[in-house]
Amino acid sequence: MTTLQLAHSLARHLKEKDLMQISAAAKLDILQAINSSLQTIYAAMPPAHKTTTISETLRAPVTVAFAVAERYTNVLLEPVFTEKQQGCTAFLADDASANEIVAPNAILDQYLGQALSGNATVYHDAVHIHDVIERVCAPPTLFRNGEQVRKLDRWQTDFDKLDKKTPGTPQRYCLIPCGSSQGANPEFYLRVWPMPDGDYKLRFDAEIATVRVTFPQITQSPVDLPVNDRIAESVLLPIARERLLISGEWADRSTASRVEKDAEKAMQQLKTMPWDIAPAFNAVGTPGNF
Amino acid sequence: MTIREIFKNGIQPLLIEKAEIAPTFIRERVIGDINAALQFMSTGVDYFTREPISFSIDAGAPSIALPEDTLNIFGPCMLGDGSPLTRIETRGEFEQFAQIYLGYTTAAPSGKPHGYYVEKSKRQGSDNTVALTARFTPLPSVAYTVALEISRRPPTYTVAQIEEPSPTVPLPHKFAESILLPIVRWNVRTSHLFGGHEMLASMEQEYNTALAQLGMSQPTQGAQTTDALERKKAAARAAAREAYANTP
Repeated sequence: MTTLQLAHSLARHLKEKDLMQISAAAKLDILQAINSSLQTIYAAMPPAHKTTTISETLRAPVTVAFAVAERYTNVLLEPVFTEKQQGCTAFLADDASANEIVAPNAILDQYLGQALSGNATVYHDAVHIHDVIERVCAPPTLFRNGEQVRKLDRWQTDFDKLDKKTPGTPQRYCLIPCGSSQGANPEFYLRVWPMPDGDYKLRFDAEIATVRVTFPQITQSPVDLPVNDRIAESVLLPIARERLLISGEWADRSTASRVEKDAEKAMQQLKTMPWDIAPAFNAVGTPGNF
Repeated sequence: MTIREIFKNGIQPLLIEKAEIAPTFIRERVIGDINAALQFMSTGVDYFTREPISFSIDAGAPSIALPEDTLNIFGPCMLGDGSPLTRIETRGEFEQFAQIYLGYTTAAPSGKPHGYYVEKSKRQGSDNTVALTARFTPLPSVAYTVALEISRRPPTYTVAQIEEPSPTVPLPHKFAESILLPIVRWNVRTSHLFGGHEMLASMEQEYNTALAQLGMSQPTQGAQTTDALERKKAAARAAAREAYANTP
């Protein structure tokens, strides 16, 4: 089912039934009903239906030149770091303490070195976890030269005891929150320890959020909805219809109770979605063929 | 049917049998009633008046003036490539369309228009028309052809057009006899020269039948079914019953 098909089906319940003639405000109601239903469906959907493997590269350390306006400031004169280096650990000139890059021209801690300029060594130990990732759901795995190096263990409370100055092959990881309540993007860093001493590929499985349908996609440029066609009419459509009930453009209020019941049935059906598409593997109890 | 023919029909309830002997004030009165009937019909079923127009908007052009005689805008509004434009209802939505509907935090860059807003204002230097301006957002980055369906004000006829060569009134399906004439005669009845008091009930019946037909003459696929005809007859019968019931 496409975005336009669903929008048209929803529009049939409004006072103006022709999607082309509907005002922009009423189309926004339709758009919000579609996105709300998609979010509801994928919040209830088993993880297998929203998990994917993500690959990032941990680069070898690099050295960049920097200059500061004056001592003890955390503002660098020129943008010297890249967007991808945000969150990474950096050692600047004669400041012995590890710092963290927070922007192309800013670091987290005040610079305590004496020299007003020099070289900074950037260790790529942070991977950006953007808001599309809901959850990292399996331990990240390192690859080097095409070979699997190791699975990373999650560090819990012993980070302070770790040697944070010596690079090497990463062994552990942790997810560092960045303050998404203030609109931070990325929302989290996946930080590894020790800091990588060379290039590594990092793979991890993550549950990802559903895509947002946009206004042009229900008007001029339809796309396929991110829902399998086998539940488009039985689950997505009833839930979207129920979400549209709040619109002031809904034509027949006497249908509200039926629409709500249909949505409840759709939610019940959603609970029957298979947890996995592979055969179940029960590792508890007597092994098969014992 | 020409204006002269309609005029000749309209003066009959005034007991004037020849157009040539109708005094000027009667000519003015009946022409006014004809124009009133046409204006009334233009607000009825839209297919009597619906008309497609198309125009071009240049790259970067924010707006275009619609024809001066535009009465209604029906839509849909389409770009030449078949993309529909969304109707925007308020000036506020139009000004912040990109921020509200397209997810921008600032004004959208020019590109393919998504919405249109029709601004209505008094036309400067004219006391009888409204200036309609179609505005587009985002601003077109290249020239586009735009198609829109509108209705125009009905033509306004003058006393001089009673004389030959008299213009033909444009009516779909030539509904002049069944709809226009009954409405004209009904309008004429308020003249002080009206002499058809004994015909008043049948005139009202014809008038109500015309109204029913005006609302039911839909050229929709399948409309000419037995059911549709029965509905039409039932409406006419109901109108006739009401007219007789209200006859003094």
